[in-house]
Amino acid sequence: MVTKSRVYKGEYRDSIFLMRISQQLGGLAGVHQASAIMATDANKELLKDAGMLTDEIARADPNDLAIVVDCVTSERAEEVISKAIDMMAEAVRERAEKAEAVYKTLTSAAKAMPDSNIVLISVPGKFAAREAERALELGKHVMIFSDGVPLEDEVLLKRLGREKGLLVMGPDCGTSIINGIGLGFANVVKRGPIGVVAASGTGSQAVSLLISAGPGISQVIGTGGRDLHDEVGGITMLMGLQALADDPETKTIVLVSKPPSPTVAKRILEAASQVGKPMVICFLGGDPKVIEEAGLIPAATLEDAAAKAIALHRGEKPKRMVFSNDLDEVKRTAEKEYTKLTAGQRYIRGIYSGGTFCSEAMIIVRDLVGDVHSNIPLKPELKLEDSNKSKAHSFVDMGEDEFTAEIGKPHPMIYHELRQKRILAEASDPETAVILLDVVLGYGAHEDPGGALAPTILEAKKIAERDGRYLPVVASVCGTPEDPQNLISQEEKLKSAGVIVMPSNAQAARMAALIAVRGKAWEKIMEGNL
Amino acid sequence: MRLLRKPKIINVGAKFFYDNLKAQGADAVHVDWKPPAGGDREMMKLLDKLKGF
Amino acid sequence: MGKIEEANDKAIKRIIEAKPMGTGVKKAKAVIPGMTERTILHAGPPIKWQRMSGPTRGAIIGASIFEGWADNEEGAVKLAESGEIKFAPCHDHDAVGPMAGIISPSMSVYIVENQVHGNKAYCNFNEGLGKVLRYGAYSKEVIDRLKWIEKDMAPLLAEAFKRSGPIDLKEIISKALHMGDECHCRNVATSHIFLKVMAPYMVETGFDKETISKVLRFMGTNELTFLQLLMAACKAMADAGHCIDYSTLVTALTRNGTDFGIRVSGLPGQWFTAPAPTPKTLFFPGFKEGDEGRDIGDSAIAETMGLGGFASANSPAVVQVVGGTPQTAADYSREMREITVAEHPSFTMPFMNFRGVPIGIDLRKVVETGILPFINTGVAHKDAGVGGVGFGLVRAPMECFKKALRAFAEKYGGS
Repeated sequence: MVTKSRVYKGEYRDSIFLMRISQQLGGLAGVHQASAIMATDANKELLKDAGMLTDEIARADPNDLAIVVDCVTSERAEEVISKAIDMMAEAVRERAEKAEAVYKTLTSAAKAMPDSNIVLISVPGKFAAREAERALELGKHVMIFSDGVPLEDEVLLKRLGREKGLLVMGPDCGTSIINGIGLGFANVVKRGPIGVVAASGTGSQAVSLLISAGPGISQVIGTGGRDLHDEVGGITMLMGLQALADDPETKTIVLVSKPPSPTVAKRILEAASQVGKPMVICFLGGDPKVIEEAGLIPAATLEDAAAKAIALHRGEKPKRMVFSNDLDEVKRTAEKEYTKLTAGQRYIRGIYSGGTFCSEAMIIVRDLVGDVHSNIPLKPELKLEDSNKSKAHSFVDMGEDEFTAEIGKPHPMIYHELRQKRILAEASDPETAVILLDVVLGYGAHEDPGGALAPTILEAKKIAERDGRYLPVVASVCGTPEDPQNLISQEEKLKSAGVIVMPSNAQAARMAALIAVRGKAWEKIMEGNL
Repeated sequence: MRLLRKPKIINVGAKFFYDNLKAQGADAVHVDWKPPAGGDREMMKLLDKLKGF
Repeated sequence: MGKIEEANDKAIKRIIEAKPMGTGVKKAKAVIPGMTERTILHAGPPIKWQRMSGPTRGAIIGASIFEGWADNEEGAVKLAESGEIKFAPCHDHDAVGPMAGIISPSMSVYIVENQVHGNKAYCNFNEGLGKVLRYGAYSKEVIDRLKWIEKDMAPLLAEAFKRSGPIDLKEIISKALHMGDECHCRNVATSHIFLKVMAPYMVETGFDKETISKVLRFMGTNELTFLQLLMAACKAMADAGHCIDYSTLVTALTRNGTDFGIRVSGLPGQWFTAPAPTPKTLFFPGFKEGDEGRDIGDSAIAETMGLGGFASANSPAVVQVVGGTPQTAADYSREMREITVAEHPSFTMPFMNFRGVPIGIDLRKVVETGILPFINTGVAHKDAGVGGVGFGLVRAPMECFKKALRAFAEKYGGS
């Protein structure tokens, strides 16, 4: 028998209600004894007599609610405790009215659901700050999916949130996973002990899905793309860090963002080094020395960040991940592709839906093939004059405003027309040596991105063929088998269209580079640190 | 700051985020949001001004 | 707490606490403040003769003849055009009238007194359906009926009230809500209860049997008997919350067939108007689209106090008018909660698990959400004297609330 308990500070339910819960739990399979009580002295005595007084409950006070179960296995105990929590929530929920009602304002929704704790805002940018402020005044944490919120408003909101001890995730925050619930675009992840705070939606998705295949995710806290700008100063990243530091379920932490300014970096690293839990910092494309000097562990890519966090958690030495597949096989795959290229095909054309993936790929690739032009370039002189026209090596983030806002189309993770057009355009360009794509799954993404892209890719290859060329296409799929779109089937759809599917964006970028330079970058890939 | 125990979410804006939440079995309600004052800037300014009273 | 919140709390508290009692019957010129020998009160916001709607003009003509100021239509019109008659909104004189809402000096009115705060409200007697003054009819039949009301009905009720003492109108409304009334279009239960209460006292007056029997029959067959009392009760409650500095609560929604007007607690003495909309109408047999006139009457004071359209969920009979299913009706009540500040503890709806009706329209919420107060209403024929053409749905126009918000910001903005 394994005894497990959980204490909820300051939660109250009446004793008759709790007795009914206890009764129901006791009837479940694999449960020897179970009890849900307020941790009064009298109840503690009763638990002691029954051999169920855990240290945690002994320390609790009469205002705390305690659940304790005595089960056949540890896993079963965890499951039963989860069930108890669900039972309590279900019983408290109002029937009829609330279940079906739709509210016209945040205020009336909050009145109807007074125990709500997060407000997820995805209204047009110019109205988002107003709603967020109202949410904070109502005492709720906020996630702002919307972008186009003025920087001054972001600063005001985050300062207000900080004053009230409330998180402001965003603006422009695409993903958070709080206690297993995905908000915004999120993958279905396995629960576990590793927490992530990220200033990038796809960044956190990439890291969290890799960790999900390992020990599992406790929380993913998105901060929004501008959190680490000087004006904002990393307020949400710092609060998120503190939250993970305080969270008993989080044992190891990963921070992800683009490199912040030295002032902000210093503040973040200082706070990070005080946390006292193993931590990996991924300032994508930044100088690892700064992080090492702070006594923390740097990661060069998203994949690297995940691998190192998992290694740390397991007490292993963090290693650099280059290719997860057999190296000879990787070499052969690349060769099969590049031997069919014509001499004129020289450039990699990255057509991205996730900005962080685009940046990560550019960081990896520039070391191997040279400068990459982009609409979100690593250096200002590399900015594309016309984002619709590639120049030499070009990686385009099609999730950027210029593509979405202007035409009023939804994000390319949901809506593929623009990417499809671009793929065909690059296929017609005789200088294109390889097309590089990201495919993002999860709640909020297109229901079948692989299915949407595969026909276009086949057509693209045909276009090249007609002109006497061969067109390699390399992609990675960011998702899990539990996602509604199913990772495995998405990869299959792409593979049947002739796509080289790599296990991560970083590996896809390396593969694309390898193809573009006809295999000549192999040593550099192996010996480098990107 | 203590992390939220069980997220109970008010979704303001795109219904499909609400649908996603419900599909995950989350506790959520949806606000069928419309621009305040029908987008009338003058009215929004007045409303905001009154907040200070 | 902000000044506005505090003011609204105070106003709604007074409204909810108010206790309107029917206390008697007297002639308008004897009790209505500001009533002169040549005053005619009308429904809706202030309006000049030139702009008045068909039904309103017709009713004024009828009242003029009834008063003896003119012998016929021509004479009445000349008099009206001359400026000799003082026209004013009922609302500005503590009164309310349905449809054209015409009250002239010699007409008898019910007296309603808010026992908690002392303010009073007045309303005339309901004439029944069909060709009646309030729809702008002024034939001999109409005038004769008005005279009969003055000769027999009003004195009988005046005497009955002396015997019964104050009648608790709030209690009648509460009970009627539990009997399927929404108390605007449907006042069947209210009328029955009132009749049941008054009948014994009417008999005890000692008036002759024939008179008593005629009046009882008249009231018993008129399903709208209680309508004016309902309106006056609502007026007395609303006025209890009127004139409170910084309050953004709407204390009247009303129309005159040309304009729709609102009153706001923190902006006493001001009217905010916009063109009266045309109700979406469910027609009685014999009438069709194009017959309906524009929104008219003080009866939207019911909605102002959370009844009528705000209590749509409660009235299965009226549900057909609002579009069919109990779910739709419930949605309307739910929608009104978005723009109101409270739920009335005494006016509860069995069909919504006994939740209180949404009360206290906050003009800020109307502007912010774009949700307009929803009114179930009788609909008049656009021409004078034809009568009612059906029941309809109408929403208060946004322009009234925007004007009010501007005025509010201007008045209190300096501080």
